[in-house]
Amino acid sequence: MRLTLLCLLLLASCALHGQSTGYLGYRYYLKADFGSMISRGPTANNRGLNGLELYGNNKKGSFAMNTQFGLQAGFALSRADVLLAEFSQLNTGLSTVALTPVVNDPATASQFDTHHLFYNVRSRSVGLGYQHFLLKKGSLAPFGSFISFYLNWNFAAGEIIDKRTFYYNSAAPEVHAKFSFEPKVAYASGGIGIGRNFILADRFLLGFEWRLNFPLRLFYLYKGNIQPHPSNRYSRDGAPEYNRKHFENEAFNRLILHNFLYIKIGAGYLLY
Amino acid sequence: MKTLPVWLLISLGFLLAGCEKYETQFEGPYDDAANPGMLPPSPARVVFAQDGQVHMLNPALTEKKTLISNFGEISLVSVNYAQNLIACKTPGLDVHILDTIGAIKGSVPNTENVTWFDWHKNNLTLYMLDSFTLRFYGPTVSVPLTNLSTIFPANAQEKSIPAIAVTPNGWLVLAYRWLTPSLEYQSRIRVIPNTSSVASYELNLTGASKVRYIRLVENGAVALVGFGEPGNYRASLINVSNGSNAAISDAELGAIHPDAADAAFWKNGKIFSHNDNEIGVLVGSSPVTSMDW
Repeated sequence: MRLTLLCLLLLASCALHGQSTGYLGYRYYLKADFGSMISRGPTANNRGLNGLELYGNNKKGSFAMNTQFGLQAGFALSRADVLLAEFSQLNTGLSTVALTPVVNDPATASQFDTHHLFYNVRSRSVGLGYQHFLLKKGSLAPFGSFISFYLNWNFAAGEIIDKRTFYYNSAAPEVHAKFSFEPKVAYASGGIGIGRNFILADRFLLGFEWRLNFPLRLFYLYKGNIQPHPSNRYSRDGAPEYNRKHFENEAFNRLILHNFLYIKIGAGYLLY
Repeated sequence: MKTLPVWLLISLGFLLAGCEKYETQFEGPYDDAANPGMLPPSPARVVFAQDGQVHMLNPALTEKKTLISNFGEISLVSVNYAQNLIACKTPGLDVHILDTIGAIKGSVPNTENVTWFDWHKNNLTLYMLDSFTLRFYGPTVSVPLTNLSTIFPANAQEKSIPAIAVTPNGWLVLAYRWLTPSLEYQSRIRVIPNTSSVASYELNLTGASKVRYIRLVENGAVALVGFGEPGNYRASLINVSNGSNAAISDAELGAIHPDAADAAFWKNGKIFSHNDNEIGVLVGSSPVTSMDW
């Protein structure tokens, strides 16, 4: 009888231990990650696979990578589920055009100067994620193989790092009107991924993930521009608005392409 | 763990790719905030009064929107060059100040008898004609005289000053009309410089026509003057510095663009561009009582 009770007690304790949440009881972890994928370009340094049309010149592209850095804080809800918060940042390149009303020559005040601009666009993202670990493949959150889902908010701002202005009247002094807009764009995005976390010595983990991101503002793709037609002098008043919307459209399209697919590699630490 | 080395190798490859720095090809970095004050022109829109309403046209002169309605009769309306303040007047009431949304920002006290007003280039000062006195609402502008009754001949009767404009440097461009002892009307435009080194001068209006409005361009170099009687209206451009002038329209009412590149006129139920008469907005048959650009 005693032996039977002892065996039952042992079995019960084993079962309880097997059901405990987190790898070896560690439920909280921090992970820094790096994401990368072949770029169709342009990248922040104006590389990329596609032929870049910067400043009207067809430049042949070159091999380069889209990159992204991030930080994740995860919490194992159960043996199979992890809830996480994440922050990430990427820098990318954007080649675009802006127009400003001529200000250096009153005789041509109804015309426009054309500016070819190369922006560095910095996008910062905050988000929430859910990872489901595959118990049948021997996983135990946050260790092993998983599928993941994310919701992110992205805030991007541009900085002009190169510019070439074509003055309507090139003989006049080389001054032009301000662009008069903040080069910023914000949008929400969703993400799905598959990945695997490896446990290295003691509390250290190494993670890999294929991640696919897509914008949730799908209609933003088709947002119209205000076109300042050079032949209509009244439209020059709309130039700042045109420039702003043009930047928003171009930056948004560039960011979703840059963000579309990543292989992410991260190193983390199980806190407690 | 068997696949770990493969993953690490892929990671290393990605980490090493594309780390070159951008090489400047043309003008390099640009900071819009540091661009020294070359602002695009402010959006200039025609404002006009009709049927007790104040309307504003878009810059292309193709659409109108109503800013205020049910304001009673509106005799005069004027928009500042910054296009952010509009003054309007109902006979017997004080001058009201609106923004371009149509919200009433306030009123100017003791202006029920004001007969003409317009905005100075500083965009803050509303100069007003109260009987024969030039008054200011907002920062005072230096002008050669404010008591305008002194410009009439001593024996003048039926004196009137229908319109006045103050240039950025304080010159006065005013229209005045009176009846002589021989019972003949005289109607003139007088330009009074704000310095003794330049002599004032006058322009005679044929047939002693009544002046209806004077509108200045933003730099004060050109004035659009409208005058005449029903069936015989005229609008002329006057070079303020030397008085040279030319008639450009037979419309009853008009306004000139702040940069003098165009003018807008009201005629036959339409407000249209002087440069291209095909561009304009049909506004109906009700009289447009005042307009500005």
